[in-house]
Amino acid sequence: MSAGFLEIRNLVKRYGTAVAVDGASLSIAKGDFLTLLGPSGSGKTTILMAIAGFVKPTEGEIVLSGRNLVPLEPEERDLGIVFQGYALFPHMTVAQNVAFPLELRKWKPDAIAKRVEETLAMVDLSRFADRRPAQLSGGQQQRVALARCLSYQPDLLLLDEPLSALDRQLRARLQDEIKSLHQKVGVTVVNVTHDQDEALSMSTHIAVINRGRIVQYGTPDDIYENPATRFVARFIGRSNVATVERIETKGDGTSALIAGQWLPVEPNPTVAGKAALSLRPEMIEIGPPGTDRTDARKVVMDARIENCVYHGGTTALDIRTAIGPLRAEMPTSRLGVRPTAGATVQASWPVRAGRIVSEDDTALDQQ
Amino acid sequence: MRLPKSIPGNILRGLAWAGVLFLIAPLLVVIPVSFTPERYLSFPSEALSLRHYETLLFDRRWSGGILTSLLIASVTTVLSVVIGTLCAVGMWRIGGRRMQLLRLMVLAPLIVPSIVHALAFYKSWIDLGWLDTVWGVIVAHTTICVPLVMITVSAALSGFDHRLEYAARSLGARPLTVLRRIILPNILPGVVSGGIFAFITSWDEIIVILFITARKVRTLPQTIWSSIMERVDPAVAAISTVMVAATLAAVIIKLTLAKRAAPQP
Repeated sequence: MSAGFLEIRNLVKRYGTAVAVDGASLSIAKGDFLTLLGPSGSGKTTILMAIAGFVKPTEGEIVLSGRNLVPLEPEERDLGIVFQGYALFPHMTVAQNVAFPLELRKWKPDAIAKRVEETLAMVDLSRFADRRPAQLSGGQQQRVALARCLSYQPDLLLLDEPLSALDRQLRARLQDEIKSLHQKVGVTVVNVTHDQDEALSMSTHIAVINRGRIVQYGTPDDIYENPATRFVARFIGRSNVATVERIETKGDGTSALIAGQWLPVEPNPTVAGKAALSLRPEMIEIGPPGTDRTDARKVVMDARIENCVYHGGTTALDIRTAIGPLRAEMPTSRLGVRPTAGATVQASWPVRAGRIVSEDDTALDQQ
Repeated sequence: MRLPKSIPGNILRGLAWAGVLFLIAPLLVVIPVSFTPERYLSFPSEALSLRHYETLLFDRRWSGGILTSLLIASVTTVLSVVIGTLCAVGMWRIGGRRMQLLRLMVLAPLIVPSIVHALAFYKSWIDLGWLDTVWGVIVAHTTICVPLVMITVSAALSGFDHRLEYAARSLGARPLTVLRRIILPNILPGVVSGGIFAFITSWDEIIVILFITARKVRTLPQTIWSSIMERVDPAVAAISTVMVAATLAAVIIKLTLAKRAAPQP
C-alpha cells in the first residue's frame, strides 16, 4: 500500500471497556471523496472526530500528507468541518461567519473582504451576506457552513452527516451541489453518513463500517455489486441474504445448499468460512407460473405472494419460496398482472445475480 | 395550568390585583414617608421635604455607608462574575455526572441558611484575621454570589450547542479565543443577569455583615439597621425609596437586555 494523502493506520478508540473503533485502517488519495457509511453507533463519527482532533485515539496513527495529526490540537490541524446542524455562530452575520477563520489566520481586512465575497458567490449566497444564520433556511445555512470551511482552502474537508436534518428533495439538491463543489474546488473530502443513497451517489470511495471495523472499502459500484459480507449486502441495497449450508463444485458448476435446496451459484473464492447468498430485490423477476425452466443461466422457483407494496414506479413484493421469504422489487410496468396476496407465481433470477458473501464480518479482515 | 371555569374572569382578575397590591403596598408606604418634613417617621401632612435625602448625601454615616456598600458590591460583582462564569463554562465543557455532583456542592451556599453561613464566616474570619475588613466582606459576599452567577450562566449555556465550540476550534480558534469570541457573546445575557443578582445580593446583605464587621466597616444595610434600632430616622425611608428606585432601574435594564438577546428561532 503506497502512502496516501490521508492515512489512518490501525485506529483504535476505547471508552473504558467499550470499543468504539476497533483497528480501522484507510488510505485515500488527494481529491478523493470518501464516505464512511455505517449504522448509528458503528464508530464512523468517532473516526471522523479522531481525524478532526476532538477524539484522542487510544491507539493508531492519522497522517495527513506526511504530517502526523494525533498530537495536534484541533485548531492546529487546518481542516474544514461541516457539522450536523451546521454550527454557525448565531451572533455573527453570514459574512462574519465566513470571515472568522480568515481573521484567526491574521489576514488583512481587504483580503478577508475579497475572499468572503468570492466564497459567498461560489455558494450563491452573496445576497445574504448581512443576514444572521437564524434568518436563513436549512439549505442556505448548510451552504454558509460549507463556505466558512472553504474560505481558507483546507487540505481536507470533513462532513459530519451535514444533510441528515434536511428534507428529501433539499438533500438531493445539496448532494449534487456538494459533489459539484468537490469537483470544482478539488478538495479531499471525508463524509460520514448512514444514508446509503447519499454514499452511493456522492462518493468516489466508500468504507462500510460496522461495530468499529471497516468491513469493506471500495468504489460505490464495487461495494454495491460485490458486497463482501452479509452485513454489507443487507445495509446497502437491503439485499435478501440467505445462509448457505454447503457449497459444492462439480463439473458443470457450483451449487449452494440453502434451506435444503441446491441452487446454482457463481463461486466466490474470496469467501472463506461461513457463506451466505445475497440476492438484490431488483434482480428477482416475478412472472406467471409454468414458464420455461430449462435455462441454465437462471434460477427459477415457485413462490407465493405474501404482501405487495405499491411505490409508484416500482412495486415491492414479499414472497415465500422454498429457500425462505424473499423481497422482490420490480418496475410496476413490467408486472403483467396486478399481484394479489396469496397468488402463486414464479420467481426467477440470473445465476450471476446471486452473490456468495461472507456470513460474518469478523471472518474477513484483509484490510 | 388550566383554571376551573367556575371562577368568572373579573373576580379572578380582582384576586390577582389584590395579590399584587399585597406584595407591593408595604414598599409603596415608604415613598410618602421619605418626603415628610418631620424628624420622625410619619406621613407628610402639609408640606413635602427633601431634608432626609439631604441627610443621605451629607451625613457621613449615610454617605459613608452608601460608598462602602457600593465598593463592596462592585468588587463582589466583578469577582463573582469572573469566577462564576469561568466555573460554569468549565463545568459545561467537562460535563457528565461528576460535574452534576460538583454543581450541587458549588450551589450549597444557596441552600445553607444565611445564619449558618454567617457563623461559619465569623469563625473562619477570626482565624484569618479578616474580621471587620472590607476585604473580608468582599470575600464572604463573593462566596455567596458566585453560585448566583453560575446558575444564570449555566442556564444560558444549557441552550448552547457544543458543536459551536468544536466548529470554532476546527476553524483555527484556540480555547481562549473560543471563549472570548464565541461563547461569551452568546451567554452575555446570562452573565449580565448573574452580575445584577450578585450586585443586589451584596448590596443589601445584612446577616453576614452583622457577624463579621464591627466599627471600621459600615455598609448601608448596617447603617439602616442601626438607625432603626437606635432612633427611628425617616432617612431610612429615603434610602429605602432610593433603593427601590435603583432596583427597579436594574430590573428594567436586565429585562431590556434579555429582550434584545431574545433567543433566535
